[in-house]
Amino acid sequence: MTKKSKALALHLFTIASLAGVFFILPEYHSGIVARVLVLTIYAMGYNLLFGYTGLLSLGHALFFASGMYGLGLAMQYLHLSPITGLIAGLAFAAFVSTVIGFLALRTSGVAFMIVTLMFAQAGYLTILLLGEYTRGDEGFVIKQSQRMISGFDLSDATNRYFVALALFSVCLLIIGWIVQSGFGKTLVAIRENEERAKMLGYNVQLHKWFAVIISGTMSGAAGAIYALLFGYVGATFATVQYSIFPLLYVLLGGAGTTIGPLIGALFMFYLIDISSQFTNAYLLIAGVALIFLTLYAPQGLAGVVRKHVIRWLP
Amino acid sequence: MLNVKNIEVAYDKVQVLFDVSFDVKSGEIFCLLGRNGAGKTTALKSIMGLLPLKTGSIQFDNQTLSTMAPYDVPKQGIAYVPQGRGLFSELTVAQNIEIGLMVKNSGAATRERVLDIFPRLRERLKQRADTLSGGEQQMLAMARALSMEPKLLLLDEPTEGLQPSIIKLIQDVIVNMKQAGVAIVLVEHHIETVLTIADRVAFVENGRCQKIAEINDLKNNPEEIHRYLGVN
Repeated sequence: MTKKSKALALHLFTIASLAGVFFILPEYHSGIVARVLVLTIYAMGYNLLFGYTGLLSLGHALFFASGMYGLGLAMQYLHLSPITGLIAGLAFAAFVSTVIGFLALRTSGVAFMIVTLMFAQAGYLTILLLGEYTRGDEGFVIKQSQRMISGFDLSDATNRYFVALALFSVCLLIIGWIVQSGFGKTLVAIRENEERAKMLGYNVQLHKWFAVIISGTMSGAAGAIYALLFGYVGATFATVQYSIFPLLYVLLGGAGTTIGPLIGALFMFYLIDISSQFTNAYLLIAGVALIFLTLYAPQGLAGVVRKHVIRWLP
Repeated sequence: MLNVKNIEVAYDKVQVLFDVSFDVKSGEIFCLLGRNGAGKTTALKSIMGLLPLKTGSIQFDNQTLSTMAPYDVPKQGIAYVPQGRGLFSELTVAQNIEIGLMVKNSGAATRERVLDIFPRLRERLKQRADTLSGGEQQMLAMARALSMEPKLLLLDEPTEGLQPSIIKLIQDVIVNMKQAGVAIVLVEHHIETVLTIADRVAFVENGRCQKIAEINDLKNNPEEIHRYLGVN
């Protein structure tokens, strides 16, 4: 069995397990997992840039919000259907990531982090500034009646879970394919050493730009799907906090692994969910967990598995 | 094949190369000799487009390299093995070779041919590059360059810090490449290697190409080596 086949088998097994687990989970938990699946799409997009290309962005909330507002505003004001709204969200996120990538990649390292952070902050302030349309901090709701596709109700818990799973599956398979492709391997070479990759004849800048566009569009897709499935669009999703979340998921789960973002998002979500039942200082507990993982498993959970158990883990 | 004409190169305000010219023919091993800091590595980096020229030009197979983007230079059939090997240390042997193969979309046949040249790498395919010995790392650096099927190979101190048996292997590989028609520019401090495999030698001193000599003339006139390098 080749490495590619093993990776595909692992991804299909993950998808099948997530489908099966719905039937044994209580409704409360299936709701959480549906949310986690959408945020995992966000983290997978982030992981392509951070985990595989080595570019640390602190402004991915801008891409998430671009998809979310692209869909939300198009449905709200242009009365588009959920499908065409989703396409509008994706197109807007792709446009924003193309422009931001072009500008931000004129910098590198710490400057890239700061520039992406600033762009995201500018995006957040723009949402507030255009409060007449975006409803600012308060946000707006996408009505249940708008979230129907030919009688298929996206607000229904079961439908929501399986739509989230279907879209997660598509994104997981896309990411799995990208990282096994020549393009994905070149991104890893760039992450390892940009100068060496250039020396071997790779157009580093173009590869990084494509990585930002794919990463940003996938993050935007997550934002659009989130708005569609959970019916809410708000400026909170454009804040710095939402730029940090995918970084945490990827660090915890394992940067540069395809299933790391899922593991990280599940771990983080349940850590906060469980600890918040006992204390208001749940973010402190999450922080302590992150410190321990960074100290004892700096490659993240999936990274540890790859190092010690499954060497072929994609 | 390669024509370096009157090039001048500077790191900001510090000029390193002054009016350097040489040419290398197909199937020739051309060696740049000189003390540390003479500008040999700078010359190789300039050919690769990694450093901009102040003046002069570099032509290869009727293409002007000096106006190309650095990532287009290897696509002309030029491979560079830098000093320190330039491996992707966290990637495996197989992945390092694959990155070289992808430059020209070379297939399994090239990969097998390269692994036949360095059979020890075949046993280490899944091993990370930074866990290899120095000799194996040099073999991997050479293997990655050969997987690009170069017409011109630039080697920066390929025998540095290696045991005699590995030096012999590297020498044999270089000579085989030459016999296959590959032009080779070699930066080397190991005089025995130079005298064994080079065809012509350029002495580089303080950023200037002081003299270009045929290897047989040098063998008959060893004081030239002493004059420029301070060794017998």
